[in-house]
Amino acid sequence: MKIDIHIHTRKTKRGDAHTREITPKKFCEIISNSDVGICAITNHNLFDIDQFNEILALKAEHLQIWPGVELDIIHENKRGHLIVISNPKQVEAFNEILLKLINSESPDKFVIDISKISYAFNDIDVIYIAHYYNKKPNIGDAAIDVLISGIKNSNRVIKEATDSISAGIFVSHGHNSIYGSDVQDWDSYLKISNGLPELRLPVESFEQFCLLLDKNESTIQTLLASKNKSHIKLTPFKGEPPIEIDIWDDVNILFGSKGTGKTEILKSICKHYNDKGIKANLFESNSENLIKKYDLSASKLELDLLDSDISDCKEEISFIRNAEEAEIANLTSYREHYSKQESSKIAQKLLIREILPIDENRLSSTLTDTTNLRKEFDNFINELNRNEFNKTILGESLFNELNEALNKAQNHLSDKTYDAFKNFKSARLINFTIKCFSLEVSKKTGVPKKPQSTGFLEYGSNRIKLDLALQKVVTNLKKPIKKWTEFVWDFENKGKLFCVTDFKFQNGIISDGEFKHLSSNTKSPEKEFSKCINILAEKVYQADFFAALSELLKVDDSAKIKSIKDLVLFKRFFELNHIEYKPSNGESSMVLLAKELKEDKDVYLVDEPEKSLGNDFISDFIVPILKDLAKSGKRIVIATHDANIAVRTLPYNSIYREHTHEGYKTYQGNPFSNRLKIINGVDSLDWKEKSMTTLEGGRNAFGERKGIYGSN
Amino acid sequence: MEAIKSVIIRSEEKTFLQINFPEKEITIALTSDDTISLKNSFNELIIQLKKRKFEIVLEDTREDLYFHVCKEYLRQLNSEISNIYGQMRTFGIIK
Repeated sequence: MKIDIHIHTRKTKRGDAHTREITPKKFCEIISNSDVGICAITNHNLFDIDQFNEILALKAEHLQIWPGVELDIIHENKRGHLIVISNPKQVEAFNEILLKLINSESPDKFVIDISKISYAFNDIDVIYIAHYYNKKPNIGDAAIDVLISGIKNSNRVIKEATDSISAGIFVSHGHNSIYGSDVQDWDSYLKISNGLPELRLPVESFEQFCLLLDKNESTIQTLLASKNKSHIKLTPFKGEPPIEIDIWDDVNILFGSKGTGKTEILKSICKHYNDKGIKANLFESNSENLIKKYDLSASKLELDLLDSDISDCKEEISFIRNAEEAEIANLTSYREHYSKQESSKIAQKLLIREILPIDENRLSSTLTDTTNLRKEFDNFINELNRNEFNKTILGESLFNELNEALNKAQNHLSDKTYDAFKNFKSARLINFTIKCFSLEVSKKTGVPKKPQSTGFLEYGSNRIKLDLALQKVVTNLKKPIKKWTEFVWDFENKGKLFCVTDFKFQNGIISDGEFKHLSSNTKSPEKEFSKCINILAEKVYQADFFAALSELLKVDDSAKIKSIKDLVLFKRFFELNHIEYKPSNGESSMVLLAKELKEDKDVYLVDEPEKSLGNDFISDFIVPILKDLAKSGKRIVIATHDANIAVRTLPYNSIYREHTHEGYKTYQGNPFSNRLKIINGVDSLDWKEKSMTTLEGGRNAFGERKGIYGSN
Repeated sequence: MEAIKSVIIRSEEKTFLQINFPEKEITIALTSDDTISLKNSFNELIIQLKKRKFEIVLEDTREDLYFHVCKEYLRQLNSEISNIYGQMRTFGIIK
């Protein structure tokens, strides 16, 4: 159905083309042959009520003719044109107002200050359409602001564009915009009418059109065919024939008495979209709660200690657990050696036995460090040269310079690695030789061999490594683990709600039942293990260190603790203004629904969102969100008993389920046409009647809109 | 590097090497094989090494068996003390 809000049927001004003149009969004939279903007669500074009534008497039944006028207005010495269209039910009052306003002034001379317009028409139901921008003579924004400031509902002011492209641009910038034919020659009307705006919904009255205007800030997108619908086939009930319904890219309300299968239909819609690869999930107020959603009773978490700059100390714990005492030399062996004189002259000449062994460990670790560093350089150079993109990013000159420097370092490290290898191997050989000679001389002479080492080096090295490992573990156990804080909701009057996951290490003394273990359900090994680690750290340079270590190894299940991550305790809770908080059921429902609707997706399926929610929250918060989603073309299907949602969102689509003695029936319609038409049949119901009787709070919702719906 | 004096304490019951740190005396028994006592002495040496680098010098003039034992023992021990000090410095545990 097309709409033409700017039609001339009379040549009223000198500049008007005579081809604008048309008889009521001819007018009705041309309009009937076009796709135009709604038109407004808007002659310059004149409303011909007789002609209007004549047209009404002759028009086709489906055709809507609205009375209007195109007025010359002035604001700060600038003239422009303003179309005023009246509710056809108030045509007489409209005519009276115009007669008084124009006051026998000729259409050529009539002009009125825009500030007087709102005052003139404030008692009747009208729409104002201002010539805008390139629609000449246009009205500026300042003049439009004056008009808006004087009227009750700013949604009733529309800006007229020259064509669909201009209107589209205005709409995209947030202006309500529409265009009409502004017919100059009725002979070419049929051709012109093809380009007129299309109403994709069967708007059946001026009031329903005003409803559309109230729907959102850029309602006329509707007229510009921006809303789509998809026809879907569902089988929600086993053994029953499928239901075919339309789902619009807007709010779709599913309503009906309890027990009419609304939830099953929603589930079926959910399945339909998921089967098509469109991610959808059904939000059910009953089954959702914040504790579940935020997994407050979490049993397993993926924590990365590195995020808190904490090492997991895996290697250190393994080293401590497997530590063994180094052997030390007894003084007896020295005494035995020196208490027997060596008589062999050859043996006395073998001074190699007097050389002190070289520390192989230090040389070995130098070799390891140098080798590892060289490997890192090798890997980096390979990675740098493997990816051509690196060269592009760095630029050829810098890339080559870097490669040259790296190769130099690589060669240097190769030499150093070789030196370290040589030193280590030669030390090993020298130590072996000393040992070998001492042993052989001892065998030959019968003199006990002199010990090669007191054992202090091995002993000390071992204790130092244990000291370092234990210090690392103890230090990391003292570090704070970063809390996880997830914003949940802003209760504007109360504060911000967060879901907090607090972590701490079991330090051997924590007995807080509210903290759970990250890795196990038992508390004893972690607690005992921590205690033992702290004791070991104190005893690292004491003789009974290994006795303490055996205590750690005796702790049941302590083998499970492989890193300090296994000692992490956590607690998850809600926090409001930094104080632990338990949201009520109502708050929980409120937050979950709001979050569900704030999630960015294409399809929203919601079952009875009103459960546990107050009317104020629905009206002030949920309904605006739904309107915004609808505005951005999302598909929203809501099963509801709440008139606030079902009526105030002005849904494009209402699906009504009914159960009578004949069985279950499904109807579909919308508030703009005020009809609910049975699926696969001809029966229809009154949308308003059904909404009022079925929905909770229906009468109030309609009562507030009685200007549009009529008083009931 | 600090020189820490040590003396051999001889008696009929037992003989031991006494290392005289300013704040502590460390003894190493020369006539028994008490490993725990020797380990305790080693632990003390490590604790002393945390404070400073040192070398143990023997102040004894009686060239008997104990003298030779201690001379050799301290020669090896000093070399190992130097090594351990190096390790401690590398790992940053020197006070």
